[in-house]
Amino acid sequence: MSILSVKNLSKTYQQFKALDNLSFDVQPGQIYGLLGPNGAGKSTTMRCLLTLIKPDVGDILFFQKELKENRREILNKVGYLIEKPDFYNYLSAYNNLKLLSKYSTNKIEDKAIHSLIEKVGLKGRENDAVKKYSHGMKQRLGLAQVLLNNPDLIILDEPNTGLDPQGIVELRDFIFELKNEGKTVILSSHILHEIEQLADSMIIINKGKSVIQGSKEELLGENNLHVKIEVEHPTQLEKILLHTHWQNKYKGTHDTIISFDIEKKEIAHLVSFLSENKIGIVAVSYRKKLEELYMSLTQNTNA
Amino acid sequence: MLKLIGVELYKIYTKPRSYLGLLAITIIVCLIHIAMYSGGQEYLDFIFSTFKDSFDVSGKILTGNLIAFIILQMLVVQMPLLVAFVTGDIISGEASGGTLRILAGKPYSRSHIFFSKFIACAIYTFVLVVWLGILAVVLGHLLFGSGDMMVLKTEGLVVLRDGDILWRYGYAFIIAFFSLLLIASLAFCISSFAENSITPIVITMGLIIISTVIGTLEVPLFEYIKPILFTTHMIIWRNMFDKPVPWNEILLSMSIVFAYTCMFTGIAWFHFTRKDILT
Repeated sequence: MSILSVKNLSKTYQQFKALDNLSFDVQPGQIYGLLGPNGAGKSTTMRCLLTLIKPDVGDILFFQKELKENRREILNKVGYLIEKPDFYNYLSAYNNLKLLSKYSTNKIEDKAIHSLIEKVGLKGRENDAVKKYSHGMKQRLGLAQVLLNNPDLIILDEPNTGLDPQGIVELRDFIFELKNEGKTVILSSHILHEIEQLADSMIIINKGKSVIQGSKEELLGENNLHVKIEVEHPTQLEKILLHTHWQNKYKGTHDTIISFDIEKKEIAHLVSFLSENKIGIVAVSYRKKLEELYMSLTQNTNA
Repeated sequence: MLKLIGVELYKIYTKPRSYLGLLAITIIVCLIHIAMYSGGQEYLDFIFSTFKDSFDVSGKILTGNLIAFIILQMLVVQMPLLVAFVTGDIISGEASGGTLRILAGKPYSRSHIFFSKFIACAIYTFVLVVWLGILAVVLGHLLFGSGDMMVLKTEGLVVLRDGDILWRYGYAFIIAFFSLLLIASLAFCISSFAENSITPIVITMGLIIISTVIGTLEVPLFEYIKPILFTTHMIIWRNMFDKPVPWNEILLSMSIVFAYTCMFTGIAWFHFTRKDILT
């Protein structure tokens, strides 16, 4: 049962289609990665989830409830950090959290605020004005803000931006900690390596559309590799494939490169099959890393 | 809702710019008091010298009542600026600072956020007016004492007895509050469209200045426009010092001020509750 279900979401800004019939589901307890190049629609999607942007069409269901009709109840269970961590710079970290806690419909005790400050490593600096904070410290405060209402679902938009390597590692541990506490995390990032390490499932968006989505196992596991074989006579191969079981796994031809979605153990069988049919093989490659998947898919959709 | 109003008031209370208005009023009013205390009699003698052929003025003219009236007249332009300075920033400041996207995703509806901000603006405006009242009337009376008041108007000279003045100030300040609330709603309205703090303040002041200039020019074409200009009705507090008080005229002006306030607030609410928050 999905904790979040996005159905046919579309949003157009004047002539620009930011989201185009986007659908995806997030399961409870998962870390869900949202990937895509700049302007792909990641932030627009996240803003739609938080009612910051009104989609033209489409449905958003949190906890099996329609967002439009249950906004107050739903958003009380959601914590979020969209883009950079912005606060009231003239107030201290503690006063910022205290002030933002008033926007929750639950009563948040002072003790809980102090506990969050400690959790994100700002103890001792909580009374300093936020304008004196470094970006990393603001990011920590942002994470404390996310957890203010003890949310079940957490939305983080590019939380790595501007963090140093140590900050990135700490953030990763923090997100894993949230997962271990049973929270669901939706995360967008440009750092593919981070998503690859963190996410249980992911979606790649480009030009507002879903390019591919699934669990990490499905997308990056050895049971489903995207194999590219460069051959001398692709037209001849296409004809031969028509009468074999490889036809179901055939994904398309681009110039002299034929693509298949197959398991790793099938690669040898496929190569044998091509040799038996006198198809000259120039090269065989398959991708496994998220970066390769991401680049191949986003470049294909940009073409 | 009360909780959110409290939050908005806390933001105003902790924001340094909120005190600039109070500080500016304090400095301006104190300067006027000092100036009138040191050379006020000569100033009044000069003004009343034009009437010396028609009237024989005797007794104390420079009273706290008159000083308060002069202060109110002088602050016609400054007070809207001071109000716009805070109210023009209340939405656009959060938009440019990025905090609006934090608030707008919280469980409370945008209408709740909007009206809590508007009510906080109204309270801030009220505080400014009360502070002006304390400095102008109370401090004026402490420095210059009480007494009859002579008000110079275009229709002539109005003489008010000492015991007949204070209640007029009470109403004048209430009218001034609602007039400034109109300015607050205008700045608030522009603030809901803008994404930086300066634009609403500049546009609000620009509109006030243009409207005031049109209202001042004695050009036949503008005579048709003047009754619908909000600045025409914002200065109706002066009529509280007429004898007798033209209540119908004041009520009509206050109705127009109220209608403008509702219109600006309505436009702002309509836009704010529907706009995409992209900052």
